[in-house]
Amino acid sequence: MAVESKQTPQRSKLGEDWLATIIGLALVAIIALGFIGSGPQKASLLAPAGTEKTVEARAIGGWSVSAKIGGEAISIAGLITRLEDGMTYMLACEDGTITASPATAGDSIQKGYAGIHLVNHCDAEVSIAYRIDSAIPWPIFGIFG
Amino acid sequence: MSETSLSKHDYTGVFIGAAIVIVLTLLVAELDLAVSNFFKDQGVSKNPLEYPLIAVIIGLLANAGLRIIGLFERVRPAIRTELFLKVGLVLLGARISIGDLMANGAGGLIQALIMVTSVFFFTWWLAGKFNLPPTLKAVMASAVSICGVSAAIAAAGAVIAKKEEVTYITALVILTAIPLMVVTPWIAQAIDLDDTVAGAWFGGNIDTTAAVVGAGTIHGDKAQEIATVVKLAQNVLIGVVSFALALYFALVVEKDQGQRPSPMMIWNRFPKFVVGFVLVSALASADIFTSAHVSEMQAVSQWAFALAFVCIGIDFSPGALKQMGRGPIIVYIAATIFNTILALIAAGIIFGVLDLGR
Repeated sequence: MAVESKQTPQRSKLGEDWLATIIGLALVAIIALGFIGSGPQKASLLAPAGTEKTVEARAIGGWSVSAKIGGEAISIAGLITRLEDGMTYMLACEDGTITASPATAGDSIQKGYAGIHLVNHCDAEVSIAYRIDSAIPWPIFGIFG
Repeated sequence: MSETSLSKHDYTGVFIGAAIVIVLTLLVAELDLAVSNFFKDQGVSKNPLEYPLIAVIIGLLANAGLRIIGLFERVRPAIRTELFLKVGLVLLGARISIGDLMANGAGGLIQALIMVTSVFFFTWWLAGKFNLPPTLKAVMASAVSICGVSAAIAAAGAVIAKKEEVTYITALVILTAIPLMVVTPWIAQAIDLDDTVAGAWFGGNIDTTAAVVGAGTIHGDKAQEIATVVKLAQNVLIGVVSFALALYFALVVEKDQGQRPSPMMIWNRFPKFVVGFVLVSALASADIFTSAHVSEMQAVSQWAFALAFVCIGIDFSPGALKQMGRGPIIVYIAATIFNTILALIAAGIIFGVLDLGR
């Protein structure tokens, strides 16, 4: 058995195991400490006609908001996409339109969160979804999508 | 492989290789979305062509292309299948609670002990019937019974096998693992196998950890979790088997060479990334991470696995198979069939009848 044709891969094997562990734990730390954002978030409200609903959402910026009245997509007038800690944001549906009011200090909202309160005076069901997408989406460019 | 000293020329190859792997992985993500949307439009909710398969196919095509243009050997140091896979596994720990890990890990360890012992000695015995050299027998039996390429490399170090033997076994591992990654989830679905049993079957049966994760991914989230834990339970036996092999070769096969293995070899061969996996799992179980963070970690883990699957395809070396003749191929395939059937029985009893998993 020729010596030069033999291998002793022990050293590189050890290095790779520890390297993978360190990279993996570093990525976990980066994500957990919030260096790449809050992670994907979602808060949604569904208020039948004539009702009110409240939901809490993380007090952070970058929310994208979609709204529907009776299944029809509609934009919200005066919408705020940065939610402040401990504040409550009022949304009201009247005469087929949804309007956002200035934020007020909220009661009994857990730390780090903001309240979203929806009052539905419209004749149809209103649904509102606050969403933040993953910082590292699976498809990035959407070239084939 | 990739940590040998690199000249400036080699660094260029590594850079090109890394760029190729990244671009191909982005392509896999895009294709996966497009394929998934296509099936949704046809009324098929679950994509039958999950991303591990797309990634391996893309990798194999790149493999052929790189060989044709003569870049294959130059970019090969950047093809780090095991590294990407292990990074992904550490992150996957966030999704698996320590309770599930203990429960499934216990069942997985029992299954691993049965599988590793039975498959190792069956392969060793059969290889003896075909008069394969002792070092090739050791590398092959370790690969097919424990965890494919990692085990082959560890065993090669323990018995001082030839480099060509490791290359050859690596090619066989990939050649059998890719079809198994696709076929076993399909069989599991066809015979309506419980997700837990299916996961334990993939974990006990498919040689290489990347393909185990791939089969689990194709079958579903639960199967992926169980398959991973069961495979990791099998992985931790690498050190013990390497030590036993080194001892056997030192005392019996090459007794005149005066080498004596130390028990430290067990720790040296232990897959260290399992420590990271368990640590992340423990942190997740202690509610250190929010669900949003776990979701983000899953996304990163998925990217790491996609990189690994692309690398599997690129790293396949069909040329290595021609060098050794039919004997080792027959032994390896027979051992794989034995492994597949035994793993199904063991998983059915341990995770089905005895319900040792969750």
